[in-house]
Amino acid sequence: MANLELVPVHTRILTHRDDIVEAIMHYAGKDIGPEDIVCVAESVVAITQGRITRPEELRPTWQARLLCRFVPAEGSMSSVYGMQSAMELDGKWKVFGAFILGAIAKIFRKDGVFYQISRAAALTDDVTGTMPPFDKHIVYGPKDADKVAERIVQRTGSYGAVVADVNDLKRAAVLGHSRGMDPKRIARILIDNPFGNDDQMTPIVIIKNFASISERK
Amino acid sequence: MDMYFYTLVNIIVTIVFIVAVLFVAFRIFAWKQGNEEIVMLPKRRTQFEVEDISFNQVTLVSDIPFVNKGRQNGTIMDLYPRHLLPQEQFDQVSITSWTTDASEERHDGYWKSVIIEPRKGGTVRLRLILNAKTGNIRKDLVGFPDMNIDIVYQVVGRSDWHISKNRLILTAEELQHAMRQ
Repeated sequence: MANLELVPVHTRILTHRDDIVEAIMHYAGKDIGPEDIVCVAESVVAITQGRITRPEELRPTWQARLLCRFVPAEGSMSSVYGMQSAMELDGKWKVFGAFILGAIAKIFRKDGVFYQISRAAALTDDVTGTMPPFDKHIVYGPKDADKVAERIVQRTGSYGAVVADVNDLKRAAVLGHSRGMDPKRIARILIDNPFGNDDQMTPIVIIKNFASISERK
Repeated sequence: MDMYFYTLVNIIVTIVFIVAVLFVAFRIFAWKQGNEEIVMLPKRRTQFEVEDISFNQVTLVSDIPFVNKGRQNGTIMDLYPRHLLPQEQFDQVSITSWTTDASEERHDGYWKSVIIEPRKGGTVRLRLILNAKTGNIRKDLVGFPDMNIDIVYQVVGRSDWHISKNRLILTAEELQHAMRQ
């Protein structure tokens, strides 16, 4: 009887010159079956989409200088360039307004409102957030993550595909998925971060036998 | 009409006053919160030692501590050495210099961005590779002068990115001492 198995796939460093779907086919195509789910790291999808910038390319606004001061040091938005990069995508007034609303919501003990409104703030990784040579870049979240997942399914013939944001702090979120996937369930499967750390260069994970095990349940 | 005019002026003055107060309050908050302040400590570096030597080449190594003296996280985005030995001063060796984070050594000269928390630090490992131009490194190092080496680093944090540099000197005596070890 087949068991659920997580298979990390090693790749070279992928860049904006790569197509993530073709890269998956190249490195994992032969290992992907019709009962499997293909998971791909969101930062790598964003990098292949060219959704990166550098602090040197940004001119911080006063809104970014102001707001970053109120974000705890661990967050990507705590740096002035992290905050500015979110403003470049979402607009400085939207991010500013989201922050004010988030602060008001905190008074009423509701967390996460800022990041719910400003998705760019939620998805952006500041410098050091990804592996070299992108450790000196700010990496935005992926664009059209659902469409990317659909393309992966069409190209690989897999049961499903997801674009996931997973880290070693036991946090996993599915940012985009193909039709029929349950993002919360996939996130639970990925919670132990099978993508590993940056140095392992395994941005693709195959969840083997997912379909048959789902049917058994 | 005058009444409306004075009311308008009062409103504008009040708004300007509130904005000014908020601005000053923010500046005080930012000042109290502080910034990162990453500094190299070249005076506390280790003496250059010979790590590897052959007939025509010698590799010297020195560890340079650094610390974040500020009150905020700072990220060293890039760090590299710049040795300063013009041919007018000494032209018998060619020099390559490179640095790495001593806690996570690399051998490609690439500085991997690293976050330094307040009041914490680390160590930069500096390597100098001196190549003899005539083929005999001991002979070609005779007369080697004091050489300045700048450690150049780019830091970013809550404030704008900036480039700093700290200087150390490989003295003629220190080189001679290392070569005798």
